[in-house]
Amino acid sequence: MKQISALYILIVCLFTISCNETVENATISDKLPQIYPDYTFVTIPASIAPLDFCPLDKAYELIDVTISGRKGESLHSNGKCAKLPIKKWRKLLAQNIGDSLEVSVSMKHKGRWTSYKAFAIYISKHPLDAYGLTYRKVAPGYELYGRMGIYLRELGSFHEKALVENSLVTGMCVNCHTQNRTNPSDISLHIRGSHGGTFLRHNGKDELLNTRTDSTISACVYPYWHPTGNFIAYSVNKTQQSFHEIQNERIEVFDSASDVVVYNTQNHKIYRTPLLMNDSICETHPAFSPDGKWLYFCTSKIPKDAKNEDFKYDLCRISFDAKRGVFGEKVDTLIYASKKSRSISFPRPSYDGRYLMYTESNYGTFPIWHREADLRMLDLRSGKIDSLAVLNSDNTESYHNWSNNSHWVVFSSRRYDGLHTRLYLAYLDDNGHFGKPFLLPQANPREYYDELFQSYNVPDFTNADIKIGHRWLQSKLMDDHKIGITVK
Amino acid sequence: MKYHFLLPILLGICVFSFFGLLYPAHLNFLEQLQMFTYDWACFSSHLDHPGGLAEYAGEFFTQFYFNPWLGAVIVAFFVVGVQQLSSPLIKACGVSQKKADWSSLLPALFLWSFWLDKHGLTSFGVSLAVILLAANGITRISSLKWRMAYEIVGLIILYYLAGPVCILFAIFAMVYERKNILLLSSILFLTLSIPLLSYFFVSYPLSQLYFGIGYYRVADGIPNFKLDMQEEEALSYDKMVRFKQWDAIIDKAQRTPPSDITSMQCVNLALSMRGQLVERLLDFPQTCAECLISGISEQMSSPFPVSDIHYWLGFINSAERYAYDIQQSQPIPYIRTWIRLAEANIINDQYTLAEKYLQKISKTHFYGKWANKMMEYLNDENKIMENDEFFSLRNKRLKNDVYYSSKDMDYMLSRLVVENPNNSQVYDYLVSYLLLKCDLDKFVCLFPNRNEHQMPRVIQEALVFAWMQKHPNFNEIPWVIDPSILRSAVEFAQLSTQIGEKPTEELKKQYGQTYWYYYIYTSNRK
Repeated sequence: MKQISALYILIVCLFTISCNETVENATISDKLPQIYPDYTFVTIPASIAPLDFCPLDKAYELIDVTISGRKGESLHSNGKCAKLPIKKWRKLLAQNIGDSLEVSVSMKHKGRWTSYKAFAIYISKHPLDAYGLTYRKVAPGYELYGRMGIYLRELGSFHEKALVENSLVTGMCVNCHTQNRTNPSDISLHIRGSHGGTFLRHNGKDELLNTRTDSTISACVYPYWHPTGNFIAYSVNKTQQSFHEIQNERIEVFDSASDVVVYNTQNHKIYRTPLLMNDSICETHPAFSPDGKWLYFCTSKIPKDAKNEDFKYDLCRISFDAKRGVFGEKVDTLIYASKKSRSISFPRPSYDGRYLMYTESNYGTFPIWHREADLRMLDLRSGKIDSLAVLNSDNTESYHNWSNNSHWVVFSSRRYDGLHTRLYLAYLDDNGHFGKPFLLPQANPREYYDELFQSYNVPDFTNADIKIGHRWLQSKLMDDHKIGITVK
Repeated sequence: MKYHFLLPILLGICVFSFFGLLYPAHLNFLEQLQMFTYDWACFSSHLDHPGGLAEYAGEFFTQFYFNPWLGAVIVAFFVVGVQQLSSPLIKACGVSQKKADWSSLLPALFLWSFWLDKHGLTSFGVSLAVILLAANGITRISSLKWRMAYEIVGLIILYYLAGPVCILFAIFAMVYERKNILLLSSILFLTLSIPLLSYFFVSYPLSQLYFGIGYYRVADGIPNFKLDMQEEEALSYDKMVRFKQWDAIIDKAQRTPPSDITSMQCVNLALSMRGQLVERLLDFPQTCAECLISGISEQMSSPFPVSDIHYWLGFINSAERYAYDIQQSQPIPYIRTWIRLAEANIINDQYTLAEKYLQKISKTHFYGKWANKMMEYLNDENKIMENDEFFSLRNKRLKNDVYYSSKDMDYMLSRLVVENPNNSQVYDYLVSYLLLKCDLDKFVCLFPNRNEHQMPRVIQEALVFAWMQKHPNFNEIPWVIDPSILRSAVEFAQLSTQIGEKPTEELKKQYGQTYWYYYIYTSNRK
């Protein structure tokens, strides 16, 4: 028995030593460490979950990391990946708000240690002002879809929970969802499938709508809440898709027709204007200004032969009187992207009214499958456009949303493997400059992202936890008598 | 007493022989529709619903169906296991050993017939065996107090482990405890309420919580408890396409003519891979252009050949798309589609993405070595060029963009031919597609000039047929046609005019393999 105990202790010791050893005789390198995710010189909020990271090259055996700030106790991690204790991490960040942390990294490869040039992680003075993120996770597929759902991720930890999953009802697809200015008391969530409908939570009260009407070309699709919560702007779209047969291109999703309507949450009526329902023009991607007086949207002429490549969307706006539910009488074009043979989608004004971020691509209204798609930001005061080089990559950047204080954005990018969309967060300072974005942190990020074969879609901040009664939702979905809406 | 020992042996031999000799392709089909990896991710993905652990164990066993003989052993093991575990339970209900032995064949035969359906999963057998094993535990506990605890706690645990099949445990417990009304009603209450209770914790429809989530591949589907040898034939073609056994496919088709679209697609692909497609097109029972290439339809025995045909012709994106869509139809990953996705992304230079798939595949038992070998190709252009398959497919694929359309297949094929005129396989597909589609106007356009070499018989027949429809005689026919074909064409025209719409056996015997016969009597051009 004693022999067995001794053997056990020996094995435990060997295991501990092999996974955790001190850095000795390290070669000093003047290069930055190659780590995954790349967290070098990123700007983060003080409330973010630990930025665990691993050596970029999987052949590296160990990584030793020390993180220290001007104030507080240093953190140390040694192992296959840097795993930072959450409580100490939070404390260190809280003690160094507005300052930076120094990260010293050594990595062991083929039995030899190398110590790399230290790098900084900046802690912004502005809080994140969000409890978490909501997003859809779905495989980046073609015509069929498998398991998917809308999820909520706490940003202060690694905890993720499902809000709605499509296993709830056979054949169901969940997609466009949004909160009202990150407030989850107001939620719009569209569900497709034979039992589809639009889940609407307004002031905490839930209902399930059938948003199809005889006078609109489809059910309501892309939503955006009016700041009062009394209206939601939706696009209605006749969407099709085609498949490229050339290397490096996959799918083309396009609208052959689309309009923008505004739904009144008080009386279940849709408000329309001929200016947003022109048969020769596609209008889509509506977004209210933070004061609720303007409705931004994208618009393209429908080309004569309806070739996908000829759909070029401009950024426009129309005034909206929320007291009377009346649209203005003229449409202003803010950016003539079509003149430069470019196309705009997903306009998202910052909630302080200062900026408007959008996605720009070569053509079309669905830039998710366009490698050239990049984020751009319009300064609504000066009219200048920032090309946002610090946020963009050689691959697709598409969906994005603002935090409530307009100092943080979340956006999706395919920069890692060209197919699976990942979420990045970036900080905007008082001067309108973005810090280097960082990948949404995960515990053991290498394993998590390697194992994740789904994409993140339509990310949005939420300032509180969300609960959706999935059994209530299922019973309402299965009930074919949903609340209908009418056209005013 | 001799039944007691002989019955399981005979049953095992029967089941083993049946699946090993008659039904091996079904086992192979099951194996390719999953990907068991030795990692936490695979295990944890099964934890969120009742019966998930039985599914995990089922997938573990199913991976060995890669070798159908090994698969037959496993299937026989479970069928015999269910019989052996049922027998003492039946006996415990007061039945004689002999009757118990014979009666225990019923659940075993039920399981056997459940597995005749290609969507019947191994997890059902695992669940059944676990439940019966646990039910046997009831008879071993003499203390009522401990037995009550075992039955009540066991029911809850078994529901989580093996899903709603745990009702068998409950039924046995109720029969066993039939004199204890309180216990009996408690078990009944639990049996009915556990799925209902779990309904509030997991995101699945109530029907699946009562009838099982992972026993049958098609959600809300009903198993088809019958032998389907036509499907077995199609699946065996599918298997041979998967393993690139082109000659074996042709041999098999020569012995017994294929009888459905999936099988015909496999045979035609094999013929094209061996350069025999046009020459031997009508040696096999073609019925329509979809026998060559099509999109996926629900009537197909297996959807995989659709992706394979596109792959081998050079429609790499479409091969990937079809593979992806097949994958998306189910929540668990399929090894065959993942291999296709990895290959397509290597051919399309998407190395980071290919690596992502290969890393996952490398964690499997039977494909790990292949995945590691493929990783050596990543970012190594020279090595890719030395690989015949990758080199050839990179050359075949389109260099100029076009939107894929399965409705305009002749256009899609002609695009491949125009961009790569040396791609004789695609040219053969184009010629054959137009022939089977009976689109003679487009077909004739492929032969604008007088031919210098002798053309395959089917082409000559089609050209003659096209000519005859617009000309009274062969005087100015622009192609060199074998005189016997011209004579035969005239004779066929006279006979078919006399016979009308329904061909006689004699006509079929004499002209059944001519293009004229196909065009008039076999094709579904109308």
